[in-house]
Amino acid sequence: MAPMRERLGLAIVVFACYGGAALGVTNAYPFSTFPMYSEDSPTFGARLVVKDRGGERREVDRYEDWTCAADLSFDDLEQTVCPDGRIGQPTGYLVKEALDHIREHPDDDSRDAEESVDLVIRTWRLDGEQIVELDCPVARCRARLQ
Amino acid sequence: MSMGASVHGDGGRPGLRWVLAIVLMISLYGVLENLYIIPPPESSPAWSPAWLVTLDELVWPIAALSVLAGIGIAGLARGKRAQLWFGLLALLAMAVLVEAMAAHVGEHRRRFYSVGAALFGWLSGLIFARWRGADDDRSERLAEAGAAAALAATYANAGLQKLSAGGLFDDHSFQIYVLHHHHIDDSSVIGWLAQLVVAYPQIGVGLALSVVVIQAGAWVFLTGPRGRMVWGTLLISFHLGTLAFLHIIYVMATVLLVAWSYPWARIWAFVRRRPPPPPSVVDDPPLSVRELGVLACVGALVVALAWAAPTPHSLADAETNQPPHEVEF
Repeated sequence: MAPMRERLGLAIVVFACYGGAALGVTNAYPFSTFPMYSEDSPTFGARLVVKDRGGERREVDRYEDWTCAADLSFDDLEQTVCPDGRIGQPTGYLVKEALDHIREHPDDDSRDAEESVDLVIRTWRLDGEQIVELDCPVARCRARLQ
Repeated sequence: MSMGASVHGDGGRPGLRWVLAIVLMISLYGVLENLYIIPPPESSPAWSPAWLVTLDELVWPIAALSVLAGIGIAGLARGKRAQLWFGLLALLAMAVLVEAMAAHVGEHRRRFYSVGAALFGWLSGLIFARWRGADDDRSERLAEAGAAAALAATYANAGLQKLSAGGLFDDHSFQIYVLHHHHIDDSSVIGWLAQLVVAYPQIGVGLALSVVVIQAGAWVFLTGPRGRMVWGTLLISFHLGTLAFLHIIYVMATVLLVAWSYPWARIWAFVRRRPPPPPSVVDDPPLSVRELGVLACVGALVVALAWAAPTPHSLADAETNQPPHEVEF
């Protein structure tokens, strides 16, 4: 058998070493097992979106000049109760991005070009072999479509 | 001086070290952005050790660590033999900064770990080169091989995690991920493709399988120039697919893959209509059984230390995908 070349030998050991060390620490820079999307099968998903008067759903960042009837806190949003009595539980960082957008784009002029919209958590739940969609109301707001 | 330090031959590294340094600088900026510019979450899980959580309130340690990381990255970019010590300084400073950021935001931000892995591999190659008494060019070839190996290992880890859990292969997993990650009002071609995945769960299962094959097969990246190009392209495609369907992109890891996967000197010469760089002189001596044994023992020691050492971690798992619970009135 031909002897192993030094570059390949090093590569194999670094590859195995990184994998083994990451299993030991799970997450500690620079090691990680990168376990994203490896948990049990998801049975639901949820996303904070805008629903206009015509029932059209759009992303929050499509709107600006926001004013909402209620204060929007991350914790309250995570605990939003849906019409079926369950909690919406949208993905945390997506909610944070949407809330940051709303806070960074408040209504600060008097043009009054905003429309009335509903902020809702759109949920998708696996029920048997069907995915059931549901809107969970969060707040009534006024905002302007860009 | 030869620019050659690549699996692709002489001139195949139009500054891989500089690419690594630039991406490290971007990651340093990203850490500071997360610590001081982007508002933190309103509630964070408890974190251990607790001092990491409070580190961001003391400006001077973060400032000092950032300066040290910057000096380390600059020294690494400059190259020469001292780059090993500068690189180690950068690795240590970035480790504390990234873990302090994780404690601050309440979750591990894995996009920073890919860059750290590449730096770890690069430095492993340099240390190995010192032991072997390699000259500067050969040292950087070994550093490049080490960085490629660690980068490939990050994907292999991700693939093996998905393979062992198996949840991604269920009929509706990919469908649900696409539904809540994809923009709800996307009317582009990509939006149409996302709707296809939603309408036909079998497509999602096929995509999930292909992701795991690409990630778990990342070892092919280490098998030589062709393997590097083919699997590098597949890994970049995986990132672009994740961007298209889930609106998630690991920019820093993708940049490293683009830099490491292709024979840029030859491509650049072709674009400029210049003669291609000459083929590299084989300077890749064999390892004796004893040397291979020592190398494997050092690797095992690092693994043992990682298993034994106390490491920063969150006390509450913020990333589990628990089903929504019923409200109790």
